[in-house]
Amino acid sequence: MSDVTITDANFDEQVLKNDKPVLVDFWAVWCGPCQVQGPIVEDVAKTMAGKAVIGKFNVDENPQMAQKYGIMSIPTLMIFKGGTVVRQFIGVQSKETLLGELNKLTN
Amino acid sequence: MIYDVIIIGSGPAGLTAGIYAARFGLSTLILAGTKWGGQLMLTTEVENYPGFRSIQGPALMKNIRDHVEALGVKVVDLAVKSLNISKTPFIVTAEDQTFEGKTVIVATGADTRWLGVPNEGKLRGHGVSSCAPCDAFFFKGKPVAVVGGGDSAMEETQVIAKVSPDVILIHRRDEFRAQKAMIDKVTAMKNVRMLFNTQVVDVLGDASLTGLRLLTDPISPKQGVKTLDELVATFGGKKVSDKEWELPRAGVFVAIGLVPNTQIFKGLDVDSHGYVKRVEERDENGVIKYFTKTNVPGIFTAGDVHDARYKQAITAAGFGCMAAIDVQKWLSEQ
Repeated sequence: MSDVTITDANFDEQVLKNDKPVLVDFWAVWCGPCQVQGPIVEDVAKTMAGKAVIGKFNVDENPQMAQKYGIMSIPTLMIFKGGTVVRQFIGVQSKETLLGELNKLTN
Repeated sequence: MIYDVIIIGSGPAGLTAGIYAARFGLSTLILAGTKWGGQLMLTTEVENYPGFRSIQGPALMKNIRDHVEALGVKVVDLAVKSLNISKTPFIVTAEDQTFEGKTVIVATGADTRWLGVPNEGKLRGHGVSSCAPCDAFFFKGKPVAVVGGGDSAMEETQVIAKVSPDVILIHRRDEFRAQKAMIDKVTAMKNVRMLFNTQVVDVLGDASLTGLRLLTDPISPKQGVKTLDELVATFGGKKVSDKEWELPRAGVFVAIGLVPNTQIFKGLDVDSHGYVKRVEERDENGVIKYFTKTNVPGIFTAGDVHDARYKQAITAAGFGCMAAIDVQKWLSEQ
């Protein structure tokens, strides 16, 4: 399974009410490092298929949640479990780092 | 397999080394790191790379990567954890994989030097940034500061001043050291003010940045005021001691220099600032034989990881070319 698109509208259902850990990649088209992070996140989504939900959140198109979570630098990656943020990363992260954190939450 | 050369790093230095190595017919692997492309990925317009009057930094890097990949070089986006120099072939560990190379070119570049003030870690990504092109969007209409006095501080200022109505450029000295053309551009911007002889002693705020604690000493004649009270009043801050004051800001962009990425290399000689030391080798006539050698035979270096002086995309590319030429010669002599 590939990554899902998360928006202000589906944030509650896709992220906060999800039983599985959810990794959200806050990004925008104009952000150079986000273009680097994107394919890594897609790769993580393939590896974690069925075990975790991996989503991309465009901060340009979805100002509400970006503001609610205090996003002031992108890429920011947040891992949610049970509706709360359990881990947060600023700047591009490796596949290894992200898988390591997600695996801690799924095992 | 054992590669002729493993290149660690994927900025202009590493990728250019890859282009040359490939054309020499050397089996070449580039370990690009998780943030491939290096510092140019954090920039906007690049206007001093020959052949391009103006090009976006990330686009330039994409072009160079496409170029090296088209030559058949494998570029792997893995972060290198260690380099074992105790035996040859050298063993490079990247995440959970190992690679063997007869030679290695260390081209890991340099990253942002942070302010090193108490609350910085907490507020990074929440108002403290090192990348105006990435984060400017979040500071539309808000007052911000840029810290630094070199080219990158001028670039950050130009970028953020397009969206922020109130930018204060803070420099610890009385003179900038950036290129004149860049200083002139920034000086001409009506929404940019300068604070000289001023250090940031802390960043303030809980969930996000609310201000900076500054130390100004002595007050520069360029400020046009004599006392700290006057200075503070001009900039709209609050005095907290004889020399210290607080300036309300929603964002601060840090551009005070770089730290070379050499922490992972054990046994490789670095200078007191952490830059890889080159060990030039000359022939019997005093002519340079190897320019880019390190203290370890078979390991070469290129780009900002060893260069605190020039730090340009084009010089990094040049060093990468030189390192590949050195590798080719070195391999032919073994």
